[in-house]
Amino acid sequence: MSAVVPGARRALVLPRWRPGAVPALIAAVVLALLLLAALWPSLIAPGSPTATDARAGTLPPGAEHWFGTDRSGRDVFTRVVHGAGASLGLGLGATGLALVAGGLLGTLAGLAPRRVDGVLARAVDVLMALPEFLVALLLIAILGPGTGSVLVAVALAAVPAYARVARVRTQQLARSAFVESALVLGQRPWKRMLRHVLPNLLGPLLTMAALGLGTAIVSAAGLGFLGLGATPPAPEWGVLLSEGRNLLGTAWWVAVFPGAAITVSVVCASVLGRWLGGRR
Amino acid sequence: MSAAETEVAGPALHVRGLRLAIDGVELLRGVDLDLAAGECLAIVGASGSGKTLTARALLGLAPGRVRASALQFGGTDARRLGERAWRRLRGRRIALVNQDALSALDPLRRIGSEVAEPLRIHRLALDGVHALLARVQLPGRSRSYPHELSGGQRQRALIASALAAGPDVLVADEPTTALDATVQARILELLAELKAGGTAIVLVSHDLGAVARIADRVAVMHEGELVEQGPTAALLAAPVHPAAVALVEAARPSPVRGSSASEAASAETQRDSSSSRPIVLEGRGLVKHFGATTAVAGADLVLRRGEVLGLLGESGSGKTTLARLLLGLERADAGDALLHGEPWSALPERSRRERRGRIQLIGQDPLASFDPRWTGRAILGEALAEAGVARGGRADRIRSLAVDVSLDPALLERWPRELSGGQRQRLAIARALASEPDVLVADEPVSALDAAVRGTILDLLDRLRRERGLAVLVVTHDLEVVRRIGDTVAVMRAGELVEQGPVARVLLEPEHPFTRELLAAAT
Repeated sequence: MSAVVPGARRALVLPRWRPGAVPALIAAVVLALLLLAALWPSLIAPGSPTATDARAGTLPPGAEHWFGTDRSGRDVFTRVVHGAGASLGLGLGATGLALVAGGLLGTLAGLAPRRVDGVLARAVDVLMALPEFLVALLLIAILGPGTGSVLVAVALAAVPAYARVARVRTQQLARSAFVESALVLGQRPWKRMLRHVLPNLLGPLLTMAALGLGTAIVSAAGLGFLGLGATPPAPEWGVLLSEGRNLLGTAWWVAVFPGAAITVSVVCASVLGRWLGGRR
Repeated sequence: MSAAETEVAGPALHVRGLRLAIDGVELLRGVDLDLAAGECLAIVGASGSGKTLTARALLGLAPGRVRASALQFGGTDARRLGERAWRRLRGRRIALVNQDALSALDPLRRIGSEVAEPLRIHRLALDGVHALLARVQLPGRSRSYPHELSGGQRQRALIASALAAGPDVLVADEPTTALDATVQARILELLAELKAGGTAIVLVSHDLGAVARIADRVAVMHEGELVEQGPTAALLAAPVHPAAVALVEAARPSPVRGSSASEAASAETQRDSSSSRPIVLEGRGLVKHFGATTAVAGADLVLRRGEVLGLLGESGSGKTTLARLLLGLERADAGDALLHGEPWSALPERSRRERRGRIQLIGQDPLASFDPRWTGRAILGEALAEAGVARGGRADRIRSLAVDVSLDPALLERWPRELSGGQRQRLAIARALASEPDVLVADEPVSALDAAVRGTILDLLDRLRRERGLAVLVVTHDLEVVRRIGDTVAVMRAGELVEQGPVARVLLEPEHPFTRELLAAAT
């Protein structure tokens, strides 16, 4: 579906300058840094995230250990940076998966005969009635703990929202005057789908995904915190948070910095998502 | 308007040097108005000329800062009023009747309560509501909701609400624009009655026909200024300023085609001469139901090559549905549409696809008919691709299509939303021409356009008919469209075609009472 449209300028990728651009820009820069940490952690924190040092246990933040050390003397800064990969990866992966699966499901429901659509739409409504996190927990209970399970569980929990938007939008588009104009020109149904329905569907879905990214990161970290995701020595933010939980009274930095990392990434994703969604 | 009238010193409305600028752009540049009790002043002008802004500025509702060297209602200086003081004035001294009655009425509120609102606001007795509704001929409808009323009834409810607190001045902003001709006539009669009762009326309109009926004086607005003012009859007969001349020109009724001396054949011989042309599109006993309502009840229709058929009817008469049946966009419950004498509406879409290019559609709302992500060039390119034009030849054809419809090819780089209404309609026509069709179905092609632009689009359709032998079906509620370009006309009412024939015959010697009513309402 690449380059099917000669001369169609894309309004999707490069948004125009408008109020609110400054916070969005800051959010984008922070997210880019986090992404860099996720892709190439050793560039920012060259040490090993799992190397213990018995002599340097629970040191407070200082020049040598910016975020302090945990009970086993592991550097918290290094662990937070190296944890970005797992946490953001889970968030992005789950969001992407949900976007594709929900988008497809919704589009099919929107185009399906009324009875099929009715069944799919009601199923989606039922799932929407449950909080996403609860659905994710339920799925973990079925799939068993592990990083892969977390990815799938968080993704599937978010699917109904995407499916719902995609379904309604598909129905609107399929009935729109410009899709009818394509029919009057004699265009085949699949071509109308590819050229007129899907591209116009993508905008709202991508906006949703940008907003959903934050939720996905929190859900993934939450499952990690509960010990249902990555196994403990691995530096996933949720796991880090849970490790620091018992030390809050004595060594606050062990829990606070991973928590701050989660907060900052979620806030940035939301600010950027909202800005992208507010266009036009 | 009873007690207040006696106190009024000076004219009901006295305005000098009304100015309004938004973001440094001067939108009103010194407007002077005077209005006496029982007088009607019409402000006319093309869209964007500042008519509505003037109307709103008179009520202190304009966006931005309004300045004037005088702004008086019956002697009260309204220039330095704060919002609270304005609220005491609005409704009581000067009231507004809005353009769009549906959105001006609260959908969750009964009409009676809507009409009583100004009374409540100004702490007046509420017992006049029924009398007010009776006065606008809506007796006993006080418990109805807006959606239960027709467009004309809503407009009347709005007028009743504006009248409730007995204002001296009524500002009516395009009160008849969205209405059918027969309903328009009734609203105008109502306004004329009010005028006779002593209310001063400012009528904002682009419809010179309406203006001519009730206005005593006309003021022509052009780019934020009143460029010409005068008594209605005199100004319409001999406008001076170019903007006024253009407005009057555009509104002049066209001679009926075939009625001029050179073509002075009788209606009967006309029919003979046209029947030699081949039939391109034919409807036979077309029927369409939507649930319990019958949108089209057995329509027979013939469209010949090189001929413009006007399908004339009021809103809700089923004319758009009939057009969609003929286009094969809606499945008929009974009857057939034939294209070039071959089955068309009865075929499945798959078999129709190959011949889709033969019959093209120009929609009511051109903007909605374009994919919002596509520029004009991409839109025409797609149409040509579907018409089987090879990629290499498209650039040239895109250019020539634009030239054919008198659209500057440079504008093709824009998105349709960046084009004006007339330009969009030209683009829609260009797209329809890409497959070199035999039939063009135009559904209200000019109803959203200014009078002057309207004429150019109609001329374009007429030229295409002449030069290419196109058959054109024009769906319209506007008699003027039929008069200007129609060869034959079919009059539709409540799903039925009540009268058909050459335009000259039907418009000059209508047979069906409904046709007569339509004609009477429009003149």
